[in-house]
Amino acid sequence: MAEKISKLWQSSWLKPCCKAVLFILILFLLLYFFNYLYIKNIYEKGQSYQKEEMYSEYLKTLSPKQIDYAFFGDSHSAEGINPDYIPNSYNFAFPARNYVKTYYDLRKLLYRDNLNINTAVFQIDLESLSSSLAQPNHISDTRMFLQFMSYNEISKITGESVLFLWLKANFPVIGNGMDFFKPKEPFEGISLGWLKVVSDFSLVSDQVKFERAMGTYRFYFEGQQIIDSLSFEYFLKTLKLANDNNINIILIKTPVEKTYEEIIAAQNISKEDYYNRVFNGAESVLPEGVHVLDYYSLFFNNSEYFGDADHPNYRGAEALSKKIYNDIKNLNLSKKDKPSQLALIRISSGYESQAQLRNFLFLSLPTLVAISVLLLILRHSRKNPKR
Amino acid sequence: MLFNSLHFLIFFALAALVYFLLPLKHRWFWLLLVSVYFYATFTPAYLIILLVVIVLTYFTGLKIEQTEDKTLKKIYFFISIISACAILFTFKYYNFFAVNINFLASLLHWNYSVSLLSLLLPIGISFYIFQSLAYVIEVYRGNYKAEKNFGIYSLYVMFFPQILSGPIGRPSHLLPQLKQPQRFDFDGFFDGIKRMCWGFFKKLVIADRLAMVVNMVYGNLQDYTGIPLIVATVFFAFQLYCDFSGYTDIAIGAAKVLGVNLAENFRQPYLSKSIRDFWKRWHISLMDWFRDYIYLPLGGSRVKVSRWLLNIMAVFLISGLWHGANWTFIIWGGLNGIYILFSVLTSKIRNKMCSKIGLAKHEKLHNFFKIAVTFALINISWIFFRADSLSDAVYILMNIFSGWSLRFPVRHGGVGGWPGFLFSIFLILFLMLVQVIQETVGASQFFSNKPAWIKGAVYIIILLLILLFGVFGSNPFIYFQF
Repeated sequence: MAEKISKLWQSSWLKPCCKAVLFILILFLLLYFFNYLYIKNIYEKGQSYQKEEMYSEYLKTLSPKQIDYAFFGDSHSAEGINPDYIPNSYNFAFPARNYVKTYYDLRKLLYRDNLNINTAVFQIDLESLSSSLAQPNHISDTRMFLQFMSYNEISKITGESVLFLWLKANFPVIGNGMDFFKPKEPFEGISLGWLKVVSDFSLVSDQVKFERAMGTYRFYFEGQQIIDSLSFEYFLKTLKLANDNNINIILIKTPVEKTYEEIIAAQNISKEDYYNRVFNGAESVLPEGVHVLDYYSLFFNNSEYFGDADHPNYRGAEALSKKIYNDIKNLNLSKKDKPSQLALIRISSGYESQAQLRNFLFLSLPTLVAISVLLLILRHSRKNPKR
Repeated sequence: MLFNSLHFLIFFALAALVYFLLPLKHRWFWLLLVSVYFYATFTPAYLIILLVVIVLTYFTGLKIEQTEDKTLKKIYFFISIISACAILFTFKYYNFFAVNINFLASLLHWNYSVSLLSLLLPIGISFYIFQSLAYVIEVYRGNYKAEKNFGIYSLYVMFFPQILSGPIGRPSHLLPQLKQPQRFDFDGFFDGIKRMCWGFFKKLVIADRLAMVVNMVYGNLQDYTGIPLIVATVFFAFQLYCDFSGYTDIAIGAAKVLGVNLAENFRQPYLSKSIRDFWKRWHISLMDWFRDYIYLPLGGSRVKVSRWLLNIMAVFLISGLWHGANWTFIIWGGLNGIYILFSVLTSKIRNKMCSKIGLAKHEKLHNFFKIAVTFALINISWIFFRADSLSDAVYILMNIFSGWSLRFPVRHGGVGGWPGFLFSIFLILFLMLVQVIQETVGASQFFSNKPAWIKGAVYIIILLLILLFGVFGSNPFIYFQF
């Protein structure tokens, strides 16, 4: 027997195969280890995860599951609207959030969390529909969004295969090793979804203001489409989703600092064309019209309200939030009953289907192994029948 | 289907598995099928162009061999050459010439304009046409017998590891291997896999990371002067090398897995001691093609000195044009030609100078000096290669030494900040170390006497670096545009 095994080992294929299997196993274990470190030390300490966790904790305390004002948008809203100054509100906005993500986020709130929202405030700044926010593929945080989207849904949007998405979601360390060495993003805190910014744009020189404002303009608009078609499509879908759930809808333009506006004005960007398209689109979905709160020029000459050229800091957030609450109260929006049949809609999560597949494999694998062993025994007994 | 995609890895694994399960005599057919599928994943319509080139060169090759009449041989030969070049011209150069003719006409106030074509450049056209022409020329010269099997010949032209960006194969080297597939060999298989891994490392970890800085600077030139321009240009030199040689390593590795040996395309080019040496180490298959089918037929160096220098310039100008239909590429080619002319004409003077200042006595210092000067000259020519327009290239040259500002595009998230930038520098140094080992000892020699666990550890580290630090953004290879 020992001689047979030794012969088999020395054969031309078994040794290299075993070496290859051992190699792959070690590689996988090391990858798994680094992935674990990444998830614990980078991913779960990031803004996105922290904000989602805080929202989950907040939701547990909410009884009934109802909020009066929900804010959606990108970093302008995330940093500019402080729910502490707007009773029974929550800030769902997030940096670099495009309307594809906003749509699925709203869908999650309504159908997974069964959250009752009276009024939704959607940001419509000049860059809100820009293709710069659609980079690299409209849904960048696959791991997060798989909690309330299916693999197929994400695959249709991003064009990535399900296998690639599975890798991105379960092994987020792949391609992101540099995050281990990047300095942690300084954020001062999150309160009811609001991201606090403490920097003060009034303390920098005019030259630095200009350079930063120009950098911001370039990021949003240079080589980009001002209206990305998929983002616009999902903007309209978001409005329709809110409308179908009898939610009052308000569109909001957040304030910018004067330097940024001077750069925008000097470039060939037609605000009129942009907002015509946005409002015409909104009216096609909401025939009864939509409220618009325009704060674009509100703090032109108040650099102390900004952390940079276009993001309010904590002082600006306080001033803006108080103004928003005051203006919304004056709109006298009524509370609407929610349509009961929509509460029954169930959304699928990519992790659910993953778990189902895993369970299937765990159940079927022993069966497959048992069948294979039986077949091998049968084959062996046919070759060596007992005399 | 790019090499650096999950789709390609799955495709290649399946293709290789079925290839080795099939009987030897049917393997070429399977390779042909997967090559057709591979090319069709880009733009299926351009399979027609590829088929036209294959049919044209196959039948003219047969006719050339079958015909006894020398005049008729020449006619078939020129039909083949002119038709293939006409296809290349139509898709790659027509619009360039049309634009320049229209510009000239407007300058001379002529009421004449040439309409432009809106045709997409078929991927790999420059490579497979050159490979087909190599076949026709070798058959015409009597160096190789025309291939009778149309399928095998088609496979020679469209063999998937090399169709997109070479190496440009020769019929005498590639066709026999395709006709006589080898049995599965573990050593060849693992050598191929290792070569592919090294190629992925160069492309995903080094090239695509350096590209972030290069694109940031070259995309916003007016914002930078001095050091950022120098750094971006040097980064581009390594980006281009790692991108192209990375692709070549993946191609050679994939072919090796299948038991086919492709020609080498690079030999540590940035350790060249002269421009002539550089062009024996960079894109070797293309330069060999130009040498054998343009330079030598023009007379090579066996003519008068003036004609010889003209031959050199002609080859480099054509090489520049081959790379792209843009004046920047032509100037890039011409600049390299001028470098060679200068080195030829001043060879004696430079040797005398080195002897006088005593540099010739210190071999290592002398070699280091030669490598540094060659690298600097090549980098200057890469400015034209990378710049989007002539005016951009001129801007860089005028401002590359003005100002010592260290204001650099590392703040932007896409570059990865200072850690990403420093990591890029580390990668370049690591690459140069590997190049020095390959040049002096040879990589396989260096590893051969190391214990198995060290070899295993090195391969695991390379793979981990690819998985952790690779830039997985489906960035196409630079040479795909040629």
